Amino acid sequence: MKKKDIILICGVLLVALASLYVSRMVTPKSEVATVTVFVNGAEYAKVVADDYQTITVDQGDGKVNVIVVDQSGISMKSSTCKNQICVHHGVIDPNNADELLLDHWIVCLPNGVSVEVTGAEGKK
Amino acid sequence: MNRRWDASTIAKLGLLTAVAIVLGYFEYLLPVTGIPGVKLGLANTVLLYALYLLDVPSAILLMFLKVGLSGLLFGGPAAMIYSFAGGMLSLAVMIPARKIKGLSIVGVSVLGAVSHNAAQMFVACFIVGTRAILAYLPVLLVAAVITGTLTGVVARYTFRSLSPKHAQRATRSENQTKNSTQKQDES
Repeated sequence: MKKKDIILICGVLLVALASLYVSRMVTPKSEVATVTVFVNGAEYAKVVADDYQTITVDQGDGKVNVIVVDQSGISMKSSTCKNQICVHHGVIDPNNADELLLDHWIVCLPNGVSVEVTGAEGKK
Repeated sequence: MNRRWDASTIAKLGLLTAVAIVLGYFEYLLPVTGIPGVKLGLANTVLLYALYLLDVPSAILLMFLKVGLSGLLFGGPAAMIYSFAGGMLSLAVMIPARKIKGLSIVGVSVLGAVSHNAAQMFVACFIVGTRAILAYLPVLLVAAVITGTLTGVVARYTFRSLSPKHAQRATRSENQTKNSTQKQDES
């Protein structure tokens, strides 16, 4: 490992920190804990986290994602995708969604569905 | 490309392709990290080998073979798009980077891993189209530093045990040495 390698590694870590900061900056502040569902980049549904419900995203071409909002939090109950990463993501607690550095998103890449959970940080 | 594809070159590239696919498959079966999208990238040691001990056309050809065959065998078309993007950008970065004085193979490997992950992020961004991807960028960057350093160190010790003279001949024993070095590194 040479000096330039170390400089390079530090540089990449700095970029990582900067992107973390930018990511936190661009996250909208909401008054109440909110769940927003995006399908292929467009907003599909926006609900309050206290409003318990099941959101089914059926894109009509065999791609179906079921998102559950209940007292335990927000989770992807089922997905027709191959890797099931979104289903294994687990439950996001809306009360501490703002403290979660990276985990306030559930993303299903194969189906192009992403769910963002924002906390009630904007109220403070 | 005006190069001579003699039997020894073809045999060598065939072996390297096989090693790259096996390493890739190994990681596909055993996701060491547990974070989606983060892999050790051991197959990159094969590309580094081609870049340092063979030549640029061989490295490019190896990348295309590895991505194409892995995609056909176990990844599927969606995974292939990500791998192609990652493979092409990492090669485009590593080819000039290895000429930089004072940057060792570890640094080149880190650059390759970072650009590989960055390219995959761009593809994901295009598909999902939300800020979710930006939130994931720091994870992938930090992961690239760790995996890039590891594969770079693996590659360095592999090359050290193979003198360039040795590398020109006896391709078979070469790959055995290579595999055993990697096994030691993993254990």
